[in-house]
Amino acid sequence: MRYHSLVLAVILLFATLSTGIASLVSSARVADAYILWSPNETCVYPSSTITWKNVSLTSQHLTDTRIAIAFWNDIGANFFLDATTGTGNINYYSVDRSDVDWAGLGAPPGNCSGGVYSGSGSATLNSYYLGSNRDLIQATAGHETGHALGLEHTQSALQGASGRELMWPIVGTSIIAPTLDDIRAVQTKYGTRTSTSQCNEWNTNGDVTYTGTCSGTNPALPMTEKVTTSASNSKAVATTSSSTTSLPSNGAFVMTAIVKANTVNKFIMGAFTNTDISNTLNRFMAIEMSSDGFYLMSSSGSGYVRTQIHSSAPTVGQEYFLELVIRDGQSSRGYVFKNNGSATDPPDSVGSVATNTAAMAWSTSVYYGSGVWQTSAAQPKPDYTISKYYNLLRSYT
Amino acid sequence: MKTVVILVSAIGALTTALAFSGGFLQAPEKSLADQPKKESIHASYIGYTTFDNLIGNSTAIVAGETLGIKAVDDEGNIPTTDFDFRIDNVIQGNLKAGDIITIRQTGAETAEKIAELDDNPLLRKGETVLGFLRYAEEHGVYVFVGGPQGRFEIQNGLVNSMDKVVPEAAWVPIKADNQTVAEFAKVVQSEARS
Repeated sequence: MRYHSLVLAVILLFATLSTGIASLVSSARVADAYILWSPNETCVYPSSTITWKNVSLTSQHLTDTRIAIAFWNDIGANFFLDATTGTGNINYYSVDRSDVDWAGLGAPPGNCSGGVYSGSGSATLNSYYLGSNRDLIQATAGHETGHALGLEHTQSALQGASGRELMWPIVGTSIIAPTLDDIRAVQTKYGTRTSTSQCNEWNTNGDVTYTGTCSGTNPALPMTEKVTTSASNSKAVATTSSSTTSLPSNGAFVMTAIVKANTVNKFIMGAFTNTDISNTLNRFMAIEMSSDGFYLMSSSGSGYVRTQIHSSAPTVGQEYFLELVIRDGQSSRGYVFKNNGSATDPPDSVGSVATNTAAMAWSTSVYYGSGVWQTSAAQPKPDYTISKYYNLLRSYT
Repeated sequence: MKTVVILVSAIGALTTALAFSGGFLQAPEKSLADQPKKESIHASYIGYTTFDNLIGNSTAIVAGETLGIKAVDDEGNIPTTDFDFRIDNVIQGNLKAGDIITIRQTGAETAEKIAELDDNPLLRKGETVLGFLRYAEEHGVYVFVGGPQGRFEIQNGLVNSMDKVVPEAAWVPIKADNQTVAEFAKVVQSEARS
């Protein structure tokens, strides 16, 4: 009898131990492989025109979401986010929830097959954390739109970078538009725009719509435009062939340029209310690369102010990516990155982001352009290419 | 006696084999077609880059164990799961050891799908964590401050930040690396006093 009890006890012990060990093995969480951008999200939307729908945005969130969407439309990927009142590829929501721990939530469509999404993605903004801070709302709306487009968080911290991307998991008030790594990510995923005959328009509802032509009453900047200019005169501003736009109240756009540094010259890119930049009535906001560093410049009275982005002189021969964010009635931003890096190595940001607190009204015609300031025509000019929608995956020469 | 030993060993080996193969102890594993579909959702957070930030936004800082799922809400586009959580240690706040609170997370697992944040996965039964928690009074639940920023895993008595648990949480600003609960608590309390 004692032997039978012993046998039973041992069997029970084995059974218990085995079950416990098996359970531990099956519940062990397998860490995902290191990710960057969107290797787990392999799909794109079926059409390059991606419709978005306001399902329940508050009035403030709608205004700032439009701006965030305009920025994604401005950066040269081969898609266009177009407002619709019908079925949206991406649906936008506002909530006010204290029982969640996030400021925004975004997701691509749940179905991904054969490289194409079906169903709808979503972007949700949480007033509980965002309050009425417009920079924060725009940054979050832009970030969640990135997720709805299929981008994941950047992991630049793993390379020692400091998170100067819109797709960094923490949203703040300095990165309010896609920067170099975000742009590369979305251009890699969707391809780059090549057409020069497509235009945006700000329609009467304040949405940017895709018209396919550039002849509307409120033409915004062409969707794809590469301008290479060799302006060499002092204080010359080279404007593009379609050099004006008018922004409605609360409109916004982004300009980008790749500039190879030269110790001698000053490169400037910006938006102006007059082509004669020496006109004292001119209003302008510009980003400047010069021998004493990088600046955000804005008109002030009959002169101008310079807000430093980075104090060190650019390295001769190094290409820099410059980004200027212009918003009607709100502060501007200037971002500078070294134009390096790859799909798995983020580019180096240069200095800190500059914010120019001057909030200008841009609702009159706005010119945009670039130029080189030289004291002598004989001096070498920097190589530069300005494009409102720059293809960052290949070099322009 | 020798026969008994051989018999017991054989039964033990058989039992072990059956357990690991999921024989009589578990239901047969589901085929790929039957497994719940994984839906990815991503969040953006307000940053809590210092202990001061985390502490200042916390109603309670506690360590404890996840007891299990209390409720799931997967209606609408924001799925949530409520977990019963037993407090074992109180670092700050008015809770006490033995209290059972509800922690709410975004995400839900149903028979058909799993929706989960990749940098702040759903708690699992038995999981021990140290959390900086904020009480959402109108809902009667606690949430982790800043998602993974306010969540620290405890394994074998050692505290680690979420970047040690999932690589997608590499960005969390406040890191902990194999500190005992007591050591971590000391740091937190010292920061709270300063």
